[in-house]
Formats: sequence, structure tokens, C-alpha cells
Amino acid sequence: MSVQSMSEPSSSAPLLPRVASFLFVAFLLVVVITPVAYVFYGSFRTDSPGAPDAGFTLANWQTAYLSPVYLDALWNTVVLGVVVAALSLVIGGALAWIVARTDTPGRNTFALLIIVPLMISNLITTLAWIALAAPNAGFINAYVRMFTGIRTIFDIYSFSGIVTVHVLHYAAFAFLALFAALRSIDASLEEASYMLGVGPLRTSIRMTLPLIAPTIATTFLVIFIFVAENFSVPTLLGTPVDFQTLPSMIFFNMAVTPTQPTIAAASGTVLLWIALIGTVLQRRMTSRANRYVTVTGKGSRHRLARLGIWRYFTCAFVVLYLLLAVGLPYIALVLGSLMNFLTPRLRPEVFTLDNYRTFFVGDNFAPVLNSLGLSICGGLGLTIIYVLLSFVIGRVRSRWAFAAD
Amino acid sequence: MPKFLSRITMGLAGLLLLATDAGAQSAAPSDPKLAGSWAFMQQQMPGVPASLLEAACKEASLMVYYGTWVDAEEAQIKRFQERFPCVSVEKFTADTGQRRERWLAETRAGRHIADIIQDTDPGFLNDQASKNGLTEYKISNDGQFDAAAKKDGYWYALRVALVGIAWNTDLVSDEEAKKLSTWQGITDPVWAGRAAIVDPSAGGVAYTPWYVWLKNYGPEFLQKIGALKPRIIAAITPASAALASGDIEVLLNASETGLLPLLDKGAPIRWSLPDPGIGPMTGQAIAAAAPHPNAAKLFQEYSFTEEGYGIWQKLGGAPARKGVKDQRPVAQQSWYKVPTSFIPYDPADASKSMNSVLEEYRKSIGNAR
Repeated sequence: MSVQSMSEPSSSAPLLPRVASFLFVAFLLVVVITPVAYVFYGSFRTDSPGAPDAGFTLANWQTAYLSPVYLDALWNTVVLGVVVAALSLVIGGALAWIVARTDTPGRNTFALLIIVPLMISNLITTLAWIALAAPNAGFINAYVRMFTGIRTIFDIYSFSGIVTVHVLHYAAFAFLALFAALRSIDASLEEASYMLGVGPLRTSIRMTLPLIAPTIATTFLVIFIFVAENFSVPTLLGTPVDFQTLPSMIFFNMAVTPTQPTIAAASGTVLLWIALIGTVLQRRMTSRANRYVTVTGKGSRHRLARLGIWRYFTCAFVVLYLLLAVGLPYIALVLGSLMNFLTPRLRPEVFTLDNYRTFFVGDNFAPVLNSLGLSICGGLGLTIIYVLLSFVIGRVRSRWAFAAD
Repeated sequence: MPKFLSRITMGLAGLLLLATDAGAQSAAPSDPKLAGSWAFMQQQMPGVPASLLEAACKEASLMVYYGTWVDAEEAQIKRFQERFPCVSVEKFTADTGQRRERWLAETRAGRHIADIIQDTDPGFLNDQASKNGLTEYKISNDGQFDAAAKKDGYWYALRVALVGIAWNTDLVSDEEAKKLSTWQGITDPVWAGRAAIVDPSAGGVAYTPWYVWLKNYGPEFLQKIGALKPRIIAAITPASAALASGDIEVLLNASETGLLPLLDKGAPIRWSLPDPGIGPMTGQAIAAAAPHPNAAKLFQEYSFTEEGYGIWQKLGGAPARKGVKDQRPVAQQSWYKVPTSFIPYDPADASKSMNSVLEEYRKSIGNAR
């Protein structure tokens, strides 16, 4: 979709596509606007929808926007989003450069393995990291204590713990975006730079980096929004140390006695602003990025940076990332699944196969089937919706298509 | 003479009533497939008519909202389905706070899903009974429960949920553990940095001690706990798991529900039940708008029969039914001592005071939640 098609909707499209785009907008209204409108409505009520004698009030907005507890949660949300997005870009960018532009051994295999963290739910990664780095009984802390005497080398129940779990996940996302951008840059530009005698580092900083700057900016925003809206990681790791973000506050307001669904709705509007501002900024950057014609989407052969002895360090860096993002969490999960209860004090009697025996029996296996069913139906349904949406936005020139966009 | 006549009349009336009852009980269901279920009912649910069984079978299903006492509930449901194969049971389990709020939200929205609800706060159940949130149904074994363990015709107690102080035996010495035999012992500075608490919002068993402590020992008691900088854990199950792993050394408001399965698996844990104790009842009731009211009544009946209750109690908690011996293996352990008395409290006041207790908790312990 070009900038022109966004800014200049016309009504000259044939009737059928216009009707299709109208129907699509109506569908989007139902599935997107209705719940949002309901949240806004609920945020102005004295009690949850359906409750008798409920009236209108501004008190929920006052609480969500002005009370110290919620302002703290907003501040935590923003700081967490910014720190995670920045670190994810640095690590993901480094991984992308190593795999796309250097002669690091194993880079083709790494390109596949680095995106594995994206396939794992960050809830699972969080649980695995609790097993690894709980302050007193995490495997890492327990064994470091055994050999060095240091009580706790890393406490997962902390801001840095929350950042670590997020960054290990979203660095893979940043890698994916930057790897694609690095691969899409017209190789002849860099060749020209080299021929003029500019070294690889200077070429990277003076030419490659500006070329992928729009991708960096949009990736930053997308990660920021994802992290700001993530609930499982800060809830599991932040609650024990009284660190709350907006999503975790909303969860507790909705799910835990005494519930405050109307305050949750008002807090939800704060998150909505974050998402909306982020989305608008991201769209602007994407539009500007279209001007960078050198990032074409077509692959071309690039000269790889020869790192010499340093290529083993870059290889070690990728391996370390994979170890932290995939290897250790999975080892912890498998080990935990073979134990009667989680403990770093490994004795023969704590090991068992009972967890697997019960897992495959009766109702216990139902969640697996549910997950499979949801994945297949959800994946298929969303693909169909987005193909249609892309078609309407990209091919139909009507005001409805513009609205859908 | 009139006295004699009156006795004769009363006697005849009694006989008539007995005959009517016996007639109702002996009117077997017409479907021969229900013979097994009916035989069991005659034996353990005296006076329950066959029509309830037939109506329950017609409804064919049932939804039970239950708590973290998964093993006990599933064992009971399994046996119920063996006894009454015509009723299939669907289940939903969560911490009390989440489970309760889900049910309330569904009720407010007019989406009635739950037939049977369980709650660890008798005050909440009483409140729902007074607001017509529960079905009034007096079970046939009603006489087996004391007044404190039921609200006649509304809810009956599955257990006395004993609140204790738990510790990891690998990390807390026997000498140190002696301090944990009284409630006052938990405020000892020796537990600073070693203790954890379950958030009071997690449910009745997690909440009640905070209410009782505040009421009996004042805000200073909570402030002393706050001074220990305890780790706040959102629910009973993860708190118990953290104790078993050694990530925390002491759990100040522990529930046996979380501890017993871990003890059975060999986890290095022990707990004390200080005397006088804190033991809120966990009750079970039928939702007023239960979509399967007859199946729900049948399940409610079964849950409190000798068999149904026995199965649940063996895994679920200290017995609340009269004359039931505690069948849990832990009850045979020499270190395990049930309190001889309980700190009296009014469940209705405990429920009503929740906001003020949580406010005091936040001031003393933390803002989380």
C-alpha cells in the first residue's frame, strides 16, 4: 500500500469491491470497536455492566489516571517497555548483523535457531526462568552458591529479571526484522563504499545503519507496545516484589477479590492510548520507510565481513544467546517435568515419571487438544481475515477500504 | 383421656409420615438402568425421591466450580460418575478469588454456567444465600453437620480449612521451628528475609488469618510482619511449591491444601497448627440459577453422603461432618496436632471487613494487588 492510496481515497472503485470493503469495515467495527466502546462505557460506570443501581461516574478515571498507585504502574509500564525494546534491538541487531553480514561459522543454522524463542510462550519461559533463577532455590543460584558461596547471583523476582525474560524473547523478534532489512539492502551500495576504500565498520555505521533506521524505529515501537501490554511476565515476576505494570493491575482488578472491573476498564483506556499512539507512530515511520528505495525486499548477494579470529567470539555470542533463550529454559522444564516437586537438591527419590503418566490420562490431556484446536482454527481464521483485509486495503480504492486500513 | 387420644393421634400421624417417606423412597425409577444408582441412594441418601434421580439423568450434565483441592474433588467426581453414570460432570478449577469472581461476573451477565459452587469464605456463602444467589436445598444428611458447618438448606462444609505456619525442614532447624508453634512466633525478626505470605486476596483460607490477626492482635501485628519484608505470593499453590523447593523458608499463612500433596511426594516440609487455631469452613452450595438444578441437587446429596464425603475428606482436609475420623495419612503423623480450640470469629463480619483489612494489609505489607 502506498502513501498515496492512504491519503487519497476515491470512490471510483467498482461496486462489488466497494460493497465487500463496506462489509469488511462493518465486521471490523463489530470485532474491534464494540469491545473498545464497551470498555469505555464500563469505565464511566459505578459498578460492572449488569449490576443493578449502577450509575455514571468519573471516579474510575480519576483513580486510573491520577492515583499514585496507577501512576506508578504506568511509569513502570513505560520504563519496562523502553528498556526492553532498546536492549532487544541491541541484541537482536547484533545477532542479525552476525548472521547476515559476517563469516561467523554456523550462521545459516543460527538463522533458524534464533527465532525459536518466538515459538515459545513467554509464560513458559517465565516459569522456566523461575526454576532457574528463583533467588534461593533456582538451579543457577543454588549451584553458584554451592561452588562460590555467593547466596544469590541473579534474582528473577526483580526488574532486571522481568527485563531479562522479555529481552530473551523479543531479541528474536528484533533479529527477524533487522535480518530481513539487512538482507534487503541493495548490495551494490555497500560494494561502492568498499571500493571507495571505506572499511566495513564505517560502512555499517555511515551507510547501513541509516538505511535500516526506519526498521529499527518501527521494531522498537512494536516491541514497546508488546511489552507494555504483556501481562504474564510482570505479574509472575513482579508481584512478589510489589512491582506492578498496568496489565498486571488490570488482571488483579478483574480476577481477584474484591474485583474492581470499572477501574480495570479505566486503566484499559490508558493502555489503549499507548497502543494507539504507538500504532500511529509506527504507521508514519513505515510510510517514510517507503522512501528508502534501497531496502527493496529483493535479496542480493552481500560481501561478508571477514572477522578473522573475532568470528569465534561472535559465534560464542550467538551460542550464549541460544543457551539463555532456549537451552537453559528447556533443560529446566524437562528436568522439572521429571521431578515430584521442583528442588535444586537433586536426589534419586525426587525423580519420577508420574507427571507424564498422569499427563496423558483422561482430562489432563484435554488442554493439549484444546491448544491444538485453537492454534489450527485461530491460525486458519486469522490468515483468511488478513488476506481479505490486505486485499481490501491494497486493491480496493474506496473510503471504506481507507477506513479499514 | 384427651392426653391418651392425643398420643394415639400423634403416633398414627408419625406412622403415616413414615409410610409416606418409605413410599417415596421405595418408588423405584422406571428405567432399569438406574437400578444401581437407586440402590445406592436408598442406602446413603435416606428420603431422597427417585424423581430427583430421573430428573438429574434427564439433565445429563453438571458443572462444578471447585478450588485448588483438585485431587479430592476429582476423586469424588470420579466416584459420583461411577454411581450415577447418567450424569456427566464438567469441571472448572481456580483459586477462590478468581473462581468466585468468575461466577459473580457470569451471574451479573445472566450467563449461568455453574451448577455447584465452592467457596472458602462462609461469610461470602451466607451473603449469597441472603441475596438469593444460592438454591435452598436441605440435604438428606443435614443432621450430620453442626450449625457452624452449614447454613441450613444453602451450603454445607466440605472441610475445616486449617491455617498453619509451614517451614522447609532442610532450611529451618527444629530449634528455630519451635518459635512457629504460636501465632506470635511468626513476627520474630529471625524470619526477616526468609518468610513469605500468601496474598489475602487469594481466597478465604488466605484471607481469614489476616482478618483474625488484625482483629485479635491489632495493626502492630501486621506491621511486625511487614518489617520482615516477606515475599508476597499470589496464591496458595505456588507458595507451597516455593516452600517445598526451598526458595522460601517459612510460609506464614499456609494452607494444608497446598502442603499435603507435596508432603505426600516427599517434600521436606512441616507445619504447625497453633492453638487456638484458625479454621474457616470450605462450603459447597448450588447456584440459584443452576442450569442443571436436579443434577446439582443429586451431586450436593452425594458430596455429603458417607461415601462421597469420605472420598473427599481423605484428600481434601480436616473433617467437618460429625463422627468422621480424619482419614488423611498426615493425621497419623506424630508431629501433626490439630488445635483443640479455634479463635472465634464472625464470618459475616470477616466478609464485610475485607476492604478495611486489605487497606491495613497494604499499609503494612505492600501495595501489590
